[in-house]
Amino acid sequence: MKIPLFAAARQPLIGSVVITWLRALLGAGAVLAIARIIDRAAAGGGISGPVVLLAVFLGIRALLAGGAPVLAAATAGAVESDLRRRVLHAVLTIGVPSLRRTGEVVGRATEGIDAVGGLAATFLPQLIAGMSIPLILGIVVATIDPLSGLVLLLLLPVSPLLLRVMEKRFTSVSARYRATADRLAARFLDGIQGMRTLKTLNRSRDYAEEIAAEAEVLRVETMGLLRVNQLALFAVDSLFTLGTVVAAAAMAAFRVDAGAVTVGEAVAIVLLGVMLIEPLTLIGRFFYVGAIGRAAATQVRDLLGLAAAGGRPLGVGDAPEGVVEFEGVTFGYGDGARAVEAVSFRIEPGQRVALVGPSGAGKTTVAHLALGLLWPDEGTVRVGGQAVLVPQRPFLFHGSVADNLRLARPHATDDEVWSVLEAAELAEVVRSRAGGLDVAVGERGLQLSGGEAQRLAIARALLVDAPIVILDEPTSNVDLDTEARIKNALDHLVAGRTVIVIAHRRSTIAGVDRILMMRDGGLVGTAAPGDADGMAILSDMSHREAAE
Amino acid sequence: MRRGNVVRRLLGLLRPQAGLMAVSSACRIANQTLGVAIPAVAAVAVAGIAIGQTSGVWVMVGWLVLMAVVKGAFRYLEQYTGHAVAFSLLADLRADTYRRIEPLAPAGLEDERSGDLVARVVGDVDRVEPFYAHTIAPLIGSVFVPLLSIGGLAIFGDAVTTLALAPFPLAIVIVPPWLHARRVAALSSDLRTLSGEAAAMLTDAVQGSREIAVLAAEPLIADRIEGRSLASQGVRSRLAGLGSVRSGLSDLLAGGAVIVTTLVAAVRFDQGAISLPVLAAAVAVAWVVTGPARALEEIVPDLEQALASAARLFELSDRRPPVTEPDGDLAHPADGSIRYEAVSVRLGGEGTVALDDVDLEIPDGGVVAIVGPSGSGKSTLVELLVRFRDPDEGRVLVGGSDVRRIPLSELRSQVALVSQRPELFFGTVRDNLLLAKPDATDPELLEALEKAALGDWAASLSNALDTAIGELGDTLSGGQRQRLALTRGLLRDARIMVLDEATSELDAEAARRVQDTIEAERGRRTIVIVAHRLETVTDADLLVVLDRGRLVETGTHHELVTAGGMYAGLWQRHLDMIEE
Repeated sequence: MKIPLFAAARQPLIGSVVITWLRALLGAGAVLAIARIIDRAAAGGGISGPVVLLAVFLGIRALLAGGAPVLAAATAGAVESDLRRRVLHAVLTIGVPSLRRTGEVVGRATEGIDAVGGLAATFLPQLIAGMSIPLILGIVVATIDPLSGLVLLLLLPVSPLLLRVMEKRFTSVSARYRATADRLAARFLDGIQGMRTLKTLNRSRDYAEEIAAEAEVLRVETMGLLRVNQLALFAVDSLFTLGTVVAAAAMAAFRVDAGAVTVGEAVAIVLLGVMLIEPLTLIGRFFYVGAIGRAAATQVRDLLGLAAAGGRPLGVGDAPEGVVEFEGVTFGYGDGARAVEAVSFRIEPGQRVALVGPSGAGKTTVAHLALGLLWPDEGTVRVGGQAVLVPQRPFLFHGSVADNLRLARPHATDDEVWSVLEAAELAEVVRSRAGGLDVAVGERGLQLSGGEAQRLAIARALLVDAPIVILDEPTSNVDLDTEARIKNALDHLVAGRTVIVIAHRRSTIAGVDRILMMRDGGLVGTAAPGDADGMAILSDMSHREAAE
Repeated sequence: MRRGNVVRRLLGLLRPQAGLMAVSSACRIANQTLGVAIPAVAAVAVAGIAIGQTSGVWVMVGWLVLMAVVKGAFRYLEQYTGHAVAFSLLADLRADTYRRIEPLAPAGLEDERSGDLVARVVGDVDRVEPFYAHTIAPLIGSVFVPLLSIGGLAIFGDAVTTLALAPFPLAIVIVPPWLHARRVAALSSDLRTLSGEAAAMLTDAVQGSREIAVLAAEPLIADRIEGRSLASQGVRSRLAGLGSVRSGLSDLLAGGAVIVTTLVAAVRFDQGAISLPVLAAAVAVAWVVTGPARALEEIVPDLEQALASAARLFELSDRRPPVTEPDGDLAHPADGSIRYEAVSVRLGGEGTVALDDVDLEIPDGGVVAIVGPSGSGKSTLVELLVRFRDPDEGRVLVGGSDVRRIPLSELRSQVALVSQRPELFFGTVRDNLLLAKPDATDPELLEALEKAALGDWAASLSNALDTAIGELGDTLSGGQRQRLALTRGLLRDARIMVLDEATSELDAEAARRVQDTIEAERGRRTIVIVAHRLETVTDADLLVVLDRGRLVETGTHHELVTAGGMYAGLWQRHLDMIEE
């Protein structure tokens, strides 16, 4: 099934095609007027009538030319905003980890969609017109001279056919070009985002040379392909000229020689032959737009296709509010290894559970499965109501503190916002800065300290008011003072909710009802802090902490 | 930036490709001039046949076929050479831009949102590229093809008729493309800014997709991006309005060319001044010649966008780098000792004091820990060692030499900084490790991984060292990322190793093993550890306590606990937490 990309721009697209058709008809009319002028001049008669006609035809034609850019802009705008929304939805449905690099996805969503818009606005109408206009012109020629018309109409399939060939060639070349450009762009993005790390490794200067070297390899490879591939251009251009203007000129010559047409009509046939080329010239002029657009359209379609194929995932079900239940859940990231294998447990509403185990044991994967960010390969995950996450490193969006909080609840009042900030022990910090709620959070929250960012994420989670809270090592990278504040903030968040906390440290798990021990993707035991196993785990962790 | 300057700098990049570019342009001119000549010759021939003065229909057809084939050959050459230029420049532009931005990072780019920066750099480079690949040749062609065609008509046809025709194609080249050029430039630049913002928002949305999914915030984010799209559309429709005027005017001029030429030629023929074939040729040339001229008008919007993009790129790359290579007397560090002399640093425009008059001496081979609350200046202190910034006052010496006199690359090869939030790069585990030591052998890599407590992990990878690392390490835990960075640090044979909270996300077991590794390095190099967690640094030769940019205490763990100062307080709180 082909995913439609241009449905949103149906009307302006049709408008553009109609304009192109009308312009072809008016052009043909003008050519006929020219034929009349030449014949009258040759016969020594008056020419004012056909000259007026010529002026009228060409005048209306110019007016129509003025309408084209407006329709093109409307087309591009409609296609782009429609696609942007759909791509965003697709990205959020599939989740970025299972996609490629962020840079590539962003590239597709911005430059890629722009290119598809360009395709729809300029290239598509030309292509449709290019296929249909020769038919109109062939019929016009037939009204002058049926035999010439017949010959040109017989040659007619040649032009769409050649266009097709040319387009195919060009698309494959430009898809390569696009792929090259995308790959370089992704390397480039990596380099710029990681420049700090590259500098610490003393490798940041070499990186430019690596980009250049990679580009050079691709260039040589692609130029080799082009050399052969574009020979088609030579054939297409020559054959096209032969099939249209040369064929028309030859017919005109034979027929005027035979006395079947007048000299004016013969010149008209030549000019109509020229008009047969025009769609090609126009398409040629927009070929870059068209080819880049086609390649981008394929990529956008792939992205949308991935999301459409997803749908409602298997292995996800409902449960009573506050309940989290895993039944034989297995999940792998696609590299063969299983991150989580045959995990089963049930957490009752209001229970607090700690997930413990060495790093790489699958704790974070379990959390993401419970959040619905990942779907099980086998088994079933049942979650009663919304689950909210406070991650290790919360992602903060560009914008103000209020913007970041209202992501969770768009219509939250200022009072509500302040009250969650208060509960997250962040109100004081926000109040102390000029701008208050409107104070900007730097990119990825970098202008807030780690502890402040974490408390903002807690405030955000509070605003969601979900029955289930999942915490991922919330106190791991802050100093003691901040840790205490975060603990207080968390106390507000966890009250009355089902809690799953990913914990490494003894202090974090002191207050839970149950401990789930994980190792190598499997659940290897459960315990309560009070029972024998729980004591063993706690004392083991104490020893390790003491050993640090 | 002045447009003239932008154009000049853009053309400067083109210089190495100038030869190919000239070939491409010449082929384009030849192709298009033949495109005008073919119908003109045909018109002359049919008119000649009509009045009985001809060398035969087949001869004419033969000539036309030949011209068509030659025309095709020129087209192939034009495209091939044009692509050769485009591909070369695609690489050059990126590498060149990267080279120019590189000295700015990281301190010089702190006020840039990386989404916008990336949109700027990636998107703007993409827009500058067609300036070379698809603008210059058409531009030259649109001027020369009409000139050659008109010249041909004047020579082989009739000068008076040519004079009537000539103003029209010239006007098409001169007037519409540059009509309200300023407004088009301004609007184009607005459009780029809006696109940059939309890209930044989308980057945010893609990177924060987990948060958006969990918070069910998709509609809100979609609305915000939609808002940006609508703004773009507004600008775009204003651009289209201007485009309408230009396009209509061009078409009117093209129509005028046909009407006036036909009229004048018919009158001249009526007066007996020209023959019927010349009349036919004049009409045919008038009909065809405006086509190539109009190409210019379609290029101009792209040209404006390209210039706006280029100006933004140049603006960025022209910034003064916060640190520069030393000139004049170069110094070379003698050993791994470090000395801070009355160092003060102020950050950002408001001049927040990050470090205030810090004096500190670290001997070669020493193990020093820097502790203190968040924002006390710990990271700034170590950033000075690799010259991510320079002090506003005082100086920093490595191996007895002022760091500002040491070549940057030598300095950075002597100091291995392992940071809290390392970037991992797209590619395999091996690719990422080889960044630290390009010629490292597999056993070396595995040994370093083992030291960083990643030996078991590496052994469990499905493709061993060739396993691909997901973007931003999404398939890796924070602790694993940190240990990979540590592996990179260990691979580098630097005299000074700086661990900037490099083990903050490790679990207890891994932290202990890393601790052993660091202990084993003691004496082999100078080790500077920035730490939140005090329990990890009690064995250091020297503890340095920072608070709000000031150095408040130094000493061993024992001395500081006994002294009862700030450190003693921090330590007591740490003990309380453990007891809890």
